[in-house]
Amino acid sequence: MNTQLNDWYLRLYIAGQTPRSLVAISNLYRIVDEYLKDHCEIEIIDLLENPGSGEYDRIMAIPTLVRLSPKPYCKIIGDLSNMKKTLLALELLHN
Amino acid sequence: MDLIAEVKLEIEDLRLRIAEVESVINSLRAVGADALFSSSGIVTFGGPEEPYRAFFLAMNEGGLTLDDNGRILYSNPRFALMTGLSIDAMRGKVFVNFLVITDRTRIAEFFLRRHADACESELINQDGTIIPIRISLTPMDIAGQKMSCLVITDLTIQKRFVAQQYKVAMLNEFQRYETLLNIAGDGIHVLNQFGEIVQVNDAFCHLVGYAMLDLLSMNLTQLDVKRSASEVQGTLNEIINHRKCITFETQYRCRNGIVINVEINATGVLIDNQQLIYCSGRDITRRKQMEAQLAHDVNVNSNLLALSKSLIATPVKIQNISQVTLDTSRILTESEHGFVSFIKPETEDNISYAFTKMLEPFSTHSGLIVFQKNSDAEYPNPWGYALNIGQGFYTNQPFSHPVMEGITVGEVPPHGFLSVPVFVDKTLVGQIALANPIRPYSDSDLNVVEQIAIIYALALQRYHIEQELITMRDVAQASASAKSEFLANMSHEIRTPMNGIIGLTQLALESVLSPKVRDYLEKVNCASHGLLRILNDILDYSKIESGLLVLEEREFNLDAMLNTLRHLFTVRAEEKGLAFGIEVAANVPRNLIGDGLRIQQVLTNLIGNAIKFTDHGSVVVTVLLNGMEESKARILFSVIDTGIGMTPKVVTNLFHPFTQADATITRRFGGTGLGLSISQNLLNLLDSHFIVESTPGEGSMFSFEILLNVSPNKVLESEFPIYDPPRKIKDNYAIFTEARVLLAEDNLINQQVASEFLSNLGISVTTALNGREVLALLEKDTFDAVLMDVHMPEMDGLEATRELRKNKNLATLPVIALTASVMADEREQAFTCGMNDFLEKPLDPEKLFATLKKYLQLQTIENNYSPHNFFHQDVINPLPNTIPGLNILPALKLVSGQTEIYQRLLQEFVLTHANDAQKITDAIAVHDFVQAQSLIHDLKGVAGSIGASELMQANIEIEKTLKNFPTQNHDVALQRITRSLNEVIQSIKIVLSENMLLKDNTYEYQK
Repeated sequence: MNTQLNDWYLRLYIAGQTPRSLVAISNLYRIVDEYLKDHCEIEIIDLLENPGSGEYDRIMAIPTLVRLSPKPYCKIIGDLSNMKKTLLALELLHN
Repeated sequence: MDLIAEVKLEIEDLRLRIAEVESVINSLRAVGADALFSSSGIVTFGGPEEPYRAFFLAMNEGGLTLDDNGRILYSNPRFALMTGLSIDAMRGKVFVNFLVITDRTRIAEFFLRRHADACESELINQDGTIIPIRISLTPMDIAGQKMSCLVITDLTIQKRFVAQQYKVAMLNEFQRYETLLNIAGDGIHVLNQFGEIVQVNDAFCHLVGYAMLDLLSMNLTQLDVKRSASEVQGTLNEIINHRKCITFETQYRCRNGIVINVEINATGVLIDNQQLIYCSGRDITRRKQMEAQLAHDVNVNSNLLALSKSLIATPVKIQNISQVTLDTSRILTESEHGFVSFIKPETEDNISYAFTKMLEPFSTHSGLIVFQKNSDAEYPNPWGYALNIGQGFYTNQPFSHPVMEGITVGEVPPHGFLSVPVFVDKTLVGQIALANPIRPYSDSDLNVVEQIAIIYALALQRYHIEQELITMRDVAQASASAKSEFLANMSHEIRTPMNGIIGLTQLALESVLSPKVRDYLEKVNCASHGLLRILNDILDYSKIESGLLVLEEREFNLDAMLNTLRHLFTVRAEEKGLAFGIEVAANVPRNLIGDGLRIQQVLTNLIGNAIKFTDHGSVVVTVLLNGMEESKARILFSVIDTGIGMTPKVVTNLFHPFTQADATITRRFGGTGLGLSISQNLLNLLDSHFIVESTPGEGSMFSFEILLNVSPNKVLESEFPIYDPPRKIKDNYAIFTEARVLLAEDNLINQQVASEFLSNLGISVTTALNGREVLALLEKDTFDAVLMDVHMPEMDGLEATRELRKNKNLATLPVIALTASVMADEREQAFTCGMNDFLEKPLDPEKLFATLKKYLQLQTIENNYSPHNFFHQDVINPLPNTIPGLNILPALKLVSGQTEIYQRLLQEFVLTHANDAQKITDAIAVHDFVQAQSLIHDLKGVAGSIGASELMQANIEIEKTLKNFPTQNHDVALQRITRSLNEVIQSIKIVLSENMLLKDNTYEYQK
């Protein structure tokens, strides 16, 4: 499996301190620590704080993780608890 | 379309939509979303969040949610403020990295424990400030994941407050400490381990005179002048290492240079890891001075005491007194030189026996110094200066002082001079002068010497008094000796002729006399005894007056003494027709210890007076027991008469010597009037006095009470010495046959008298005129006893005895002194020379007998034959008492005194045994011992019966030798028998032929 040494940019949309939001953050960090240490920039956007911020990325459900870099652009809804699925979706894992 | 249908379609549409939405939500849920976002807002379906979210965001404390790796998932604004970062910036960061480095591990561990708990730490703000925080941890399970929720409390203010409190408290503590330090009276100085002063209090600054700042830059060694630096360090080390607290004395030099004595208490203490020594010091200079003064005073006092003691103990010689005084004075004033002198009252010379080398030039060849007053009646300088001015002084510059005026320097120049005159009352009696002390004299020295002077003065006084007393004693002694000698001489001079008179008179009375001559001689006898009595009275009186009478403490029997009195006075009383009796109470002890003789003397005097002054009625003597004190009896003697009595005036004059009641009494009643006076003196000596009651015309009672010891022994009656019985000496019977006595007596008459006495007792007497003859005779012959007159010419009895005692063979020879002396010490002298006993002159036959009994072999013919009886009877013996070879009296007793029978016995004897001597000789010549023994045996018996003791003895002897050594030569014994028998026969013939029978041939015994 090859991980390209491009800088990653991940954006996580949460809604306050809901349980799922917290879990999502936690899982995100876990993933980043394990696979993308030092190569990833994480942005966490709280839609309760900044309601308008979700428009750009057309967020419908929360939490949602958006990968802005590297391409392709992808969105993952949920608290990222299903680690395998998430990694596949992010192409950090190949079957 | 109709409306209902339209609505139905819409509802259907809505239902579909809802279902759609529901399925969307379900699928969202399935992937783990919990909120739906639309333009109109967020719809959460995960659970209620408000109002907790508002609270969480608004609360005053920082709030955090961490995942199980300790990463911040969410932070509230407050915590963002604490850290100085935005919430976003903090997300994903590890929480513990916001804490101070030193706490991170600890807090991380704290989180790992996952206990709901709190701890404290410090947060680093972005700007670098450190904020003290409390972290309150609540572990939570959120959506299946382990997370932690934290509440962060800013403790800054709290801590600041506590710090403030602490500071205030510390400040207070410090202030208190400072106050204590400064109010302490002792000088507190704190040192470090090197002795550097790190802290002081005001008192210490004051003590040493330095300012605090100065002291804080000093080391202790700069202050301590007594100890070296190494010593100081040593002490510090000791305190530190051994954790001791010690107290010691040392000296500090103050800023002004004065050195003070200090007492330091030092303790080691560890404060903040630093070793410090706390010292507390006080100035003891004053105390030390007082101690020194006290020590000095004690030294002076003990020396003065020693001086006093030695002056008391010293033999009172002026040299010793002066020397001891000089020594003490020199020691206490540390003077090298000095002298001590006394003033001779007659000449006012200042004389010294005790002086040092400096004064030697002044001494005379006899080793003393005499300073005389000069022509101006002054004592010469320098030594006399103090005496002239009359008071003590001292100078440490003698040459600038008037004391050295006109003096040239001698061998030892004085550099210091101290002199004190010694006074008793206002009289100058001596001087103490000192020179050249090893340190300058001071007032204290003068004071000490003045005290010594007082003691010296007392010693001088004592010396003078003793000299006087010695003189007085010598005079008194001389006087007493003179008196003593006089009495002794008088006694001897008077008694000697008296002895002769009485002795010869008695001898004469023993021979055959015509009644008229007998009558005259009896009166002479009475008169001479009376004279002797008076003489004894006078001598007694003189003895008592000169204090030379010594009372005896001897056992005596009361009954015996009273019997004597009875014997003495019964006849006299009867002659006057008076009733006389002596009554003793039953409870009076009879065996007593005391001077029985003197008591008897007093009673004799009283009874004699009573009889003298009573013409009719009675004279009664009563003896009563007035009480017992331990082993002593209080005995009351009373003499009661029915005589002429006395008026009170007479009674008061009674006991004065030489005055009788009135002059007429002397004529009527006779007597020297000494009696009562002597009696009174005797009673005083016996610790008693007279009690007199009298009624004129009715009678008188004289009483006295004596305290006497009771003797536990039974005292024999016969041992009571009889004072002075006027009686005719009756008898002697030979019971000391075979005794040979040497009689030494220079007076021929006395010699004759004594000789006669002794021969009458059957003793063969050899005479000597002086001591030398005695010794010569003792060399030639053997004797059984020596009667030795003490006073003899050429060699007296004492010396002779001393001489003869040197001969071993004569060591046990009984030597009996004959003395006319009344002095007790002559008796003592006699015993010291080796004499065994003594007899007083004039010789008392009974005493003589008793004494001889002690030393010569007594042959008793009859056991119950006591001389006592004989000496008391008025016997008119028709037969002579002795005739050579015949002792008549004992023989008479054998025949119960019947002279006729005795005479017949004598006749028989002559007829039967006249030739016995010859017969015995013949029998022995032919060896017919049986016949010889038979003859001897017969003769022996008969001889005994008729009183031919010598003959009997001869027979006894030959009987023995014949039995034991029959074949030896018996010539000597036979000659003895022959001689003896012839003598007896001759005597019998004389007795029978003279036919001496007087009118009354009865023979009385007194029971």
